Amino acid sequence: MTDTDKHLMVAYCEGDESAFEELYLRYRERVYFYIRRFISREDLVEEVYQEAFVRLHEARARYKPTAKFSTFLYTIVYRLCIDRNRSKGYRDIEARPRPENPAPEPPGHERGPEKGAGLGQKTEILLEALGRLSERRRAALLLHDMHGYTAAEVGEAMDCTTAAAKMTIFRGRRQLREILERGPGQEEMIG
Amino acid sequence: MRDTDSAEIIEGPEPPVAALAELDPREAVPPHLDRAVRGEIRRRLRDERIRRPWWRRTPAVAAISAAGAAAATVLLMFAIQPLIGGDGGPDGVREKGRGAASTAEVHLDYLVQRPWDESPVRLENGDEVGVGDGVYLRADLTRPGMLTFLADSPGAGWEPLVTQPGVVGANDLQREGKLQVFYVTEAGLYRFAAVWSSERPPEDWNPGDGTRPRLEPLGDPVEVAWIELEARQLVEPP
Repeated sequence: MTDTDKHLMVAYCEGDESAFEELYLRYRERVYFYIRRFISREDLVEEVYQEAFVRLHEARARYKPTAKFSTFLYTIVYRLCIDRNRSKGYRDIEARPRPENPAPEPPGHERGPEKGAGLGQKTEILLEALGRLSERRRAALLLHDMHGYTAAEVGEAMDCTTAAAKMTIFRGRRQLREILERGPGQEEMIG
Repeated sequence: MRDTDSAEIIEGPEPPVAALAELDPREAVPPHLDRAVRGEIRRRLRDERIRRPWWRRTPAVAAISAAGAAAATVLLMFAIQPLIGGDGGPDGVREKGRGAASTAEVHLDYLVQRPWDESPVRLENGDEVGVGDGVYLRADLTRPGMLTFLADSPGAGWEPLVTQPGVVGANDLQREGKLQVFYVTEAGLYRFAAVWSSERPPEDWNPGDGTRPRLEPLGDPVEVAWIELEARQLVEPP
């Protein structure tokens, strides 16, 4: 996916509408999931989601094909989430509950069967615990442990060194483990 | 960082944190949001395409136009050679208000920014402005939607630059909001870019990537200069 991501992004930079469409289809659900881990208010999630792609559009001239597209995208999204939480004087420290009436899955983009079916309650517990981490640790774990990014890529997306990213991941995992072992609602957020 | 920290990063987390990797990091985007984002980006892409000069809309046209522009530049150099007198006359507006008045409905107002000017020169209909080398331009604003410049040099008389090869015509001007006049002197290449709307930011004055054009001097020039003209269109209500 990533090799063609670069080609698609280059085409998108040159104004190719279909290249944007393809990239968008590839990443929309991941970006949406990622933003929802940071922001709980639905209206703000939508605002940030839209803004993320508008910013990607505006920043696309700065994209260099030597870089991984997804890292470029997540850098924009991460900064946007952080900025939005700070600018609104709003700090999202609780994991958002699953919507009661989730939007229907677009054809061909259904969630994996896993994953979902057997892990329903476990997923909720994990995500709730994840939401108790600081934004930085949450972002690091999302990218590294869920999206499969390397520590170097996490560092790039979060504007820090690889060593700092590793440390953040390690501390995030340790804190997450403590929260999970104690049970939900028993842990204060630690920056 | 301790070694054990690095080890866990490499080897992966232990349960229960390891369950994170089993989660699907995707969530369906609400259809209305999906439509809004795609619509917005499509709209922006189309706007950019419209604003882009016609010769850059497709790679093939861009390649052909680049080759054509180079050829036209060489041709133009010979075509306007008689205009270049180099009498060392003064730069700047030398006569105001000459020529026919602009129409009641549309008034065009031009600002001429030259590299050696500290402030732009406002150019009204019929004004003549020196651009160096004894060459003057006269703004002919008598036809709405048509921007015409006349070049004058002693002994050569006035000739409309818009009839020269490589110049974008009136229709393109109206559609693109830009007019480009390539004008070659022995000293190098002058570029005149007119922008139709004052709402456009300066980075849009030049086509394409928002950067100033790189002027390739012809031969062995002693000077390369370029001029920007900003046209402000003020349409009065009927």
